[in-house]
Amino acid sequence: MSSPSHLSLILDLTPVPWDALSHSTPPLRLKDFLAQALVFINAHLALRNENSVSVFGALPGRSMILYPPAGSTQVEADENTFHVFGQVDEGFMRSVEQEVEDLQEVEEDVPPALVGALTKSLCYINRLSNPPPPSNPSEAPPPPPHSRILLFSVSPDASVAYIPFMNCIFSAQKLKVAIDVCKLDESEVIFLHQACHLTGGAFVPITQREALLQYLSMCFLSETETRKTLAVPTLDKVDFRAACFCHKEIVDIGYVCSVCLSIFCQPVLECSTCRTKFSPDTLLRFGNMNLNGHAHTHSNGTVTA
Amino acid sequence: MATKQQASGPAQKKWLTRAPAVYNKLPGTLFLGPERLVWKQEGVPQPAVNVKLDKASAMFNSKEGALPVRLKLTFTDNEKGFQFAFSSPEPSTALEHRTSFVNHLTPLINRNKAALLGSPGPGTPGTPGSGDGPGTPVPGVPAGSTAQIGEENQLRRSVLLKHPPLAALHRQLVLSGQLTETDFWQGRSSLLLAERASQEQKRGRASTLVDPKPQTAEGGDIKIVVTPQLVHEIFEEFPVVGRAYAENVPGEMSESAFWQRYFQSALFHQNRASTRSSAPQTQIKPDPIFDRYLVPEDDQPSPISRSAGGALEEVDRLLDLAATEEDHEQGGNQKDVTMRPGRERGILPLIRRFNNHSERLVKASLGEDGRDAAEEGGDRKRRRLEGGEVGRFNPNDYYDEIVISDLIDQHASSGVQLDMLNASLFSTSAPSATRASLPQRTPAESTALLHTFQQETKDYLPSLHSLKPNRRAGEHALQSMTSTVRAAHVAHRSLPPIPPEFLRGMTTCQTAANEFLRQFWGAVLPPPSLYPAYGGQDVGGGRVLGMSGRERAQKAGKMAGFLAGTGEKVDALVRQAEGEGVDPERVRAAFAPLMFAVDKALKVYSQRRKKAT
Repeated sequence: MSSPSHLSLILDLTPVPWDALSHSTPPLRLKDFLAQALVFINAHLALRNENSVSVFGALPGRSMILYPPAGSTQVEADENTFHVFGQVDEGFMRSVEQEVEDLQEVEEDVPPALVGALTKSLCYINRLSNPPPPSNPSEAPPPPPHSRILLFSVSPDASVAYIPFMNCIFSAQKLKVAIDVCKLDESEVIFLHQACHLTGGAFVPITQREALLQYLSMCFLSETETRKTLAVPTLDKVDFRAACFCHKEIVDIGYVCSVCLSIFCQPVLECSTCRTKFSPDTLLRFGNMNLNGHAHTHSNGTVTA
Repeated sequence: MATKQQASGPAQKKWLTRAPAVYNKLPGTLFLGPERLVWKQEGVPQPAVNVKLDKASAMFNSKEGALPVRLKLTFTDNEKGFQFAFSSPEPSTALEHRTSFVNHLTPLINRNKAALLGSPGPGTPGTPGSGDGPGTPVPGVPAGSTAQIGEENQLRRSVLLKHPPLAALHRQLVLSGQLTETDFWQGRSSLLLAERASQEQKRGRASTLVDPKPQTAEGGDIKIVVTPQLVHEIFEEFPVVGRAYAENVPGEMSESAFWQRYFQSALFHQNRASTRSSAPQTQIKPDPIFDRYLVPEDDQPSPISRSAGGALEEVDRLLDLAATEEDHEQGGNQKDVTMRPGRERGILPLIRRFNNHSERLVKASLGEDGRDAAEEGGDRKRRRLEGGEVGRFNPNDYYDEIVISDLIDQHASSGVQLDMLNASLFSTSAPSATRASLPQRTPAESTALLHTFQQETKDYLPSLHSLKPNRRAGEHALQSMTSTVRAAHVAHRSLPPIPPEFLRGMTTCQTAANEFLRQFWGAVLPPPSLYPAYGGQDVGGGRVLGMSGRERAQKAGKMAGFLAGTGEKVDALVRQAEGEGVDPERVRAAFAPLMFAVDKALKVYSQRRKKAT
């Protein structure tokens, strides 16, 4: 008896990238996207009676849970719709509408809080995996579901959030949650590559945006165990570069503090994370580099060969 | 004699020492020269044994006091070697002869061993007197340093033995003459230091309880081998036996009789370390002498104090459990179950014996190593106790021990706090992203954008019901995904294996190139310097470890030459691949990172040369 499966969606709801997407070729409007996402969710729920879903949204600067809705809402039953579908669709869309309504202005500089949404989703999954003991002690507790996260990405990486993002990835590994990524636009997302690779999920960049549903059902609908038998298309080449801690730029070759393993693009006198002072002899060995934070620059001269 | 001298060459050699000796059961004389060993049978003109000593590898002596006095020599090309027995009529003179031979041969053998470690190839500086010509030391090297260098070579040999891949690399590079011995070891001094440190550790005493087990020999006799070591250990472990020995031997009985009767006596069986009663078939005969030393079994609630004279052991007052006993006497209760030693009375003597043994061991090892530290503490305590004992009990004497500085309320606790300088770096709420390429929107445009966005989310039902995916796009998507899967499958298909010989050739090329790169960068990059002048200039000021500037330049040049040759080697391998049935592109791709590194190194080298000239 396999255990039920829980799907957690993370949507990026910032206005600016969606606006760009709706003007690109082939265009994808938010409306169509939401419709296809709803069909996908319904398909997931239809696979099995005990399957569950949760949706999180990321807006500029904040993240929130969209389904199950925070407050309790009354849903009127529509006779023509399967009640589970109706409940989920209605609850989800209503939350989306509310959140988007509350947007006051287009904040262009603030990146979407994807990492916040990811963290909240992981916490929710953790809560699901450790259910409280049932009120009737003779009953066996229901088996915890297998969970996976599907992240829809429309904007490039926020390298500011490198460290928290890596922490999320590690906790997802611990929880055995696979992170799948569906890339709707063409920007560079190195961290999401790494997330998929490290957690065993699939990374799929979408080229035919009108057939989004085709991609979703082919790659993301199957559960984690079933994927071992199916061949899910995913991106093989992963760029494992990291971002330096001082400028948040991606570095190829850098300098690593031997105490806390934080990465710098240039040699520094003192590590900014753990305040370890590095010895000046070591820095001299690195030759003609200007030391970070060193007030009077002295050139080290040419090193004798 | 004349034939011998002619055979040995034009130089007149005097024998260092000679002695009558037996070889192959034949009487004769053994002669030792500076370079050779000769044995001549009595009455036979030609010497039967005439070997050069440059291949002598080891020497063995028979035991002191065991007759006949033997000496055995083995050689690198003759493992069996030669065995001689010194046959002087007086055993002491035979011993003297052997000692003189040994004294002459030992430095020779040591020198040979040291030369074995240095590579036999040409052009190896730094190794002392290579195999030929043990009489001529390297000019300028004082005699004392040969011993040091010998020790150094011992270290190198043991490091190589411990790390087989390193030994393979050493064999490949050094013994073929491409790299010198000193160069090889220059970057690896940490390995040598670690090896020396581990060799200098001494093993402590064995901690097993002395318990000689009788072995049943044939015929049903019980046999115990009494070695001097065993006797020493028994006396240490059981001083009673020592006392018995001192008092009774050689007066009452002989030594062998003593041991015989001891092992049969009740004293021995009492001291055994197991509670198993001894084999029921042996009767324990009461022995008049040994039974005098029997102590009553140690199974009373409190252990019998073991110190000589029976004086009460000094226990630190802070740890003395019996200090307040006088307060509890009148209770009339037996001691609580937790205060009673042991669960069964029969076990007590055994446990107490173990405790005494451990205590003795700890005292002995502390006495050897930590005497200074223990003594200082002990003296202080003892002095204090004496003052307290003789005079009145002064509580202030113990303040140093019971006051713990950590518990005193200090205002600033010392310790390095892991302050994170920019905690905002680690939280997601930091909104500082610099986006250079944003289209500047007027406020009107942004509100319009927002409004459109919000409209998109309303009224989902109609769009949901009218959702119809584009068929052509769907098929196209399916095709592209299937091809991705197919490509991934093909890439992961396991390739046919490369034949092992060819693979070995590839790996040796790679490891050799790695070693050259290592040496090159070691010569080019600034070395760890001892006293850097803080102005940042290490030209002239500050001592630099290792080689001088010119030597480094030479070494860098040499390595650059080798690295340039690597490219040709790789090309040769690729050409060879065709013949072996391996895809040459695969081989080239395998060497791509190595070539990248080599190119980088060569570029740096040529830049430096250009800058210098």
